[in-house]
Amino acid sequence: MVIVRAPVRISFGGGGTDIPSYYMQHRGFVVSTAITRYATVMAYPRSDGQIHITSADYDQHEAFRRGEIPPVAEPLSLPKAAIARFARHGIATTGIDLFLASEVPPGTGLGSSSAMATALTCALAEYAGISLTTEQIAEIACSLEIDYLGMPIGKQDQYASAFGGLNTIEFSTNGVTVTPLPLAPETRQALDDRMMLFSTGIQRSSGSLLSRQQANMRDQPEVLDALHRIKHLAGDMCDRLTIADLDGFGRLLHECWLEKRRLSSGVSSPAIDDCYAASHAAGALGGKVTGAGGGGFLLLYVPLESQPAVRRALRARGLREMSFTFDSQGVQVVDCHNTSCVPESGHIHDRLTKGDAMLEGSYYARTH
Amino acid sequence: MREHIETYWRDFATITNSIPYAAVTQVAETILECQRNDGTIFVLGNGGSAATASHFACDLAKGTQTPGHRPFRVMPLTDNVPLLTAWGNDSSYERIFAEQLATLVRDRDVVVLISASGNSPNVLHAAAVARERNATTIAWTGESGGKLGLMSDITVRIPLASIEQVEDAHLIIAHSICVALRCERQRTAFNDVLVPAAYSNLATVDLAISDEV
Repeated sequence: MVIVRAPVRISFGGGGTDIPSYYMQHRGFVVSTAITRYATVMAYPRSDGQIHITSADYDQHEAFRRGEIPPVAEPLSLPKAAIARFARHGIATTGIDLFLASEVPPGTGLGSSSAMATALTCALAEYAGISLTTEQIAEIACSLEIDYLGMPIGKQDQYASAFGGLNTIEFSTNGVTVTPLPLAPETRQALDDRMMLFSTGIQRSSGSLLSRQQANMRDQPEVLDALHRIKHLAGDMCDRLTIADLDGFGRLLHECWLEKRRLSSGVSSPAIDDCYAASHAAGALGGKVTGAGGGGFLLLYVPLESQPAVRRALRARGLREMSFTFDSQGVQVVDCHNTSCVPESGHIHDRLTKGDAMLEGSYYARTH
Repeated sequence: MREHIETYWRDFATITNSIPYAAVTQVAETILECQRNDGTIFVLGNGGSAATASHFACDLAKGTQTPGHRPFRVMPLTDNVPLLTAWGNDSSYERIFAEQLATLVRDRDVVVLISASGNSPNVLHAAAVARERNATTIAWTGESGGKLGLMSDITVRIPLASIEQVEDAHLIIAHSICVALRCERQRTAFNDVLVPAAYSNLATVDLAISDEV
């Protein structure tokens, strides 16, 4: 039995620069932190060769006969993609019970589906007895969403979830580099205390918004310019945090939100603008709608003394607060018995060794 | 002997479970879009992947021809042996594809780069030239994608154990894309780009010549 959990993340700046069409030409740069809200995957061995998938988030259950690999299609397409990706590692022959649950609903812009992809990758690798590095877990999680599901999304969420912590993440043709922000523990705690999250109750798919953004980038130079400015603001945010100017960081969040609204018409809505204005009037220095925008959570930087007023203003507008702290562990195997759930015949072992050789030498991420 | 052969075929049967169909579909759509923009598709690779590059170029050029549609402009960079050996001899093996691309590739073109490791230096050099020219880069790789996966707009990673299986999968991907493109064109025949009169005349001329012979 294997239990794995992977954190969701809040992205402070640089969102949109993690898409290949941008970072291949101009280098992507984001700053984000994982938070203590998790996507959890439980994998139990079966002896009858069947594959069962249960998702608490989508309230779905599906079962497949021995020897039948589920085609990668809705519903439950993400766990099916993960099973397809690891099919040759013996999961298909032994069978598996997969149970998926998230603390943050999908489609709310905290990267919960990418956290789930990360948790699934780690869980199935652990289940099959394959050891992967953190960056390999992140890359495979990206591949599940991008190559298998065809989502037009970036790579920042999977890396943020796999590594955990408060990081800058850089994207280029040389690879992905994760660097923890060198903050004093008390600065980090002070920032943690000043960040607030409120659920707007709106769920949306980042895919449609991001593909519109990608199309825009090709045809409209001003979208490219907005992405350049977003990247520079993300760099400025890091500078503010490094010198412990937290209020300055909060004001940059506000500037960044104004830029993000230029990217795509669906990023905001009148209701969201009203909530944002109300929080600003109540003392929030900056904030944004999480993820690719269009709904989900309102992330705010609020000085401690203004927090009660902001809470009142947003509650009056029907928003619910979600408590959290920063996570520093990233994806973790919470529990694992009988490590190799797949019987280790010489044949399978031989194949794994060759497969692992093909995984080497292609990642440049730095670990903590 | 027979045991190894049977094992290979049995493993082969599981390949279809692991193919990233969304990425393959994106490749087919990108090729179709490239043709609409009057772009050229370049294909390249080393060893078995060179053979796949030639094979794919052949099938894409000929096997997808459909009445009512302009054929694909496709060119393998693996088949001009004099040019390949000239660059290899006078410059370096790493430049054999890059130098060919440098004289040909434009921003509306697509470059299909085939490398199981994803780290073949001459393929990476070609990817760099394609990116400099703002062409769309498509990589077909093995499990990790290697450096090539990081330099490409679309990467088709094949999570299979052996080089041979990955190469088998690449060839099947080539065939599946050609068949899909042909079906799509037959479905939309005469709704899309009409064939310029010159193409149908050519067909008549060909027939006339063969009649004489």
